Amino acid sequence: MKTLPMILALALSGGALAAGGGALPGLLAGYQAAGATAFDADRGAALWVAAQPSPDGGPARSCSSCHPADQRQAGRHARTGEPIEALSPAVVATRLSDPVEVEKWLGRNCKWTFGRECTPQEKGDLLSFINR
Amino acid sequence: MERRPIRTWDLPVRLLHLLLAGGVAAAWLSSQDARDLRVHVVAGLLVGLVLVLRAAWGLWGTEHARWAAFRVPWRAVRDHARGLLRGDAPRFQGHNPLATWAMLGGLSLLALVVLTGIGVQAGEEGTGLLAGRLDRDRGVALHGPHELLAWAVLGWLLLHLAGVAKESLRTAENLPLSMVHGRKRPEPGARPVPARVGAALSMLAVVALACAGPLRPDAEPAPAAVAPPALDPLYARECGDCHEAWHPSLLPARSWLLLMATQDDHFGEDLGLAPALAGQLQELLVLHAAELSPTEAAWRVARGTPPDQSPLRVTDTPAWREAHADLPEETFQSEPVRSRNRCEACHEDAATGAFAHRGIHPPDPGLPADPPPPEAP
Repeated sequence: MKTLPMILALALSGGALAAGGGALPGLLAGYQAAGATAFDADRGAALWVAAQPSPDGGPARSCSSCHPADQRQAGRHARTGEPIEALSPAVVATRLSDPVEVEKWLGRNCKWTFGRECTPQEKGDLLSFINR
Repeated sequence: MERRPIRTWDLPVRLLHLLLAGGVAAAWLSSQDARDLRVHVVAGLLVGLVLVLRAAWGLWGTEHARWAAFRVPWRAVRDHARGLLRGDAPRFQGHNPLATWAMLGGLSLLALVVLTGIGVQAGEEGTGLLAGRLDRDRGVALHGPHELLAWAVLGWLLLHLAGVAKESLRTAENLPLSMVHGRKRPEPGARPVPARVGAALSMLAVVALACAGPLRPDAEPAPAAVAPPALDPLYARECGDCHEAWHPSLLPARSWLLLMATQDDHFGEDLGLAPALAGQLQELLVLHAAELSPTEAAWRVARGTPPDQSPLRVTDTPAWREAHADLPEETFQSEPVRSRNRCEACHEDAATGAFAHRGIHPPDPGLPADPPPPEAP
């Protein structure tokens, strides 16, 4: 019976460690291993709002179509209107805490926004901007 | 000759008449808005209960309430009608022959409305006395006859009122009032009937017990089968991040299979779901697809989607279109709704897949979505 609170405490502290952008160092190291150089949050910020022509003739696309450039603000899905919580780990503690989740969204959203996968350099710049 | 009015209608007759009128009125008023379905069902069942009590009272009631008094041959009805036209029809202490047949016709019509209503409820809602016992398609097929019979009741009601008015004028007696206090002027040799207060109180107790129990207006009857499972958290997260996580029971299994097979072009997006995750999602989507879910919404989707079609949008299913056909475009454009895709904007139980009639809360239709555009000069 004494073990249960201990397990709970361990689980909670583990969760707290993983939260708050905990996945970022590992991800950035991985991108550098894949050829990226030093990351620049300002470069990420510029890429965030860079308008891309839409392949279907719709309005131009950028990351800010759904996520405001101010990372502390909540966004809204460009097509469905579904509310999206802020990306900054300072606002939503679970952001940048799960590398698989981060990679899933970068993969899906780079394809929609730029029509291609992002390079490791771009990914690192974008994540640095989110975490700033 | 003594002309003091004597009790002609005993208390149970008058009580049941009042309850019947109230039940029919409530059923009629609650028949237009799907959200009032429970009230409609309760009112209809109340009418049914009153009919049963009235039938029983025809066996044990007082003189003018008995079935024996309703045994009037067609010849008598015809003669009475001719007498009315000539102006020399006799007066009767209870019902006149024409009224006797009108009562039998009205009670039969009401019984048929109640029976077909129970059938429609079993077919379309999957609830009620015949749920699980009646083939659902047969129940659905009763909807038209149910409405037709209800209109027949309305027509009958007009004849009933006209007959009462005519007879009141003809015999110089306030007949609607006599259905309240029970007294009518005596025919020669007529005797007053007992009030039968005890029987009336017993009937009232039966109705009250029914209304406190099986006919409780606020109780939503559970579907015959099990309730739908709660939305799987994995599905709610993976799909609900970008759009409402529509309940899996809103599309047939073949639609979900097609959606998962085309996840690299999901309405213009490459979802890039890892194979293991995609497999998990597909499994729970198919497991709770329309064909395997017990709700009315699921049943309508499964039944209404042609077998050679695999709609990828819930709003493309015939069931959805049929259910929302009467709604104006403004309802979908108004601010709290914004889109046809947001079930939860109007259906409080969208996440559970239940889609109960009483859970519908459309936005105020009087509320403009946006200020109207300025007039061109």
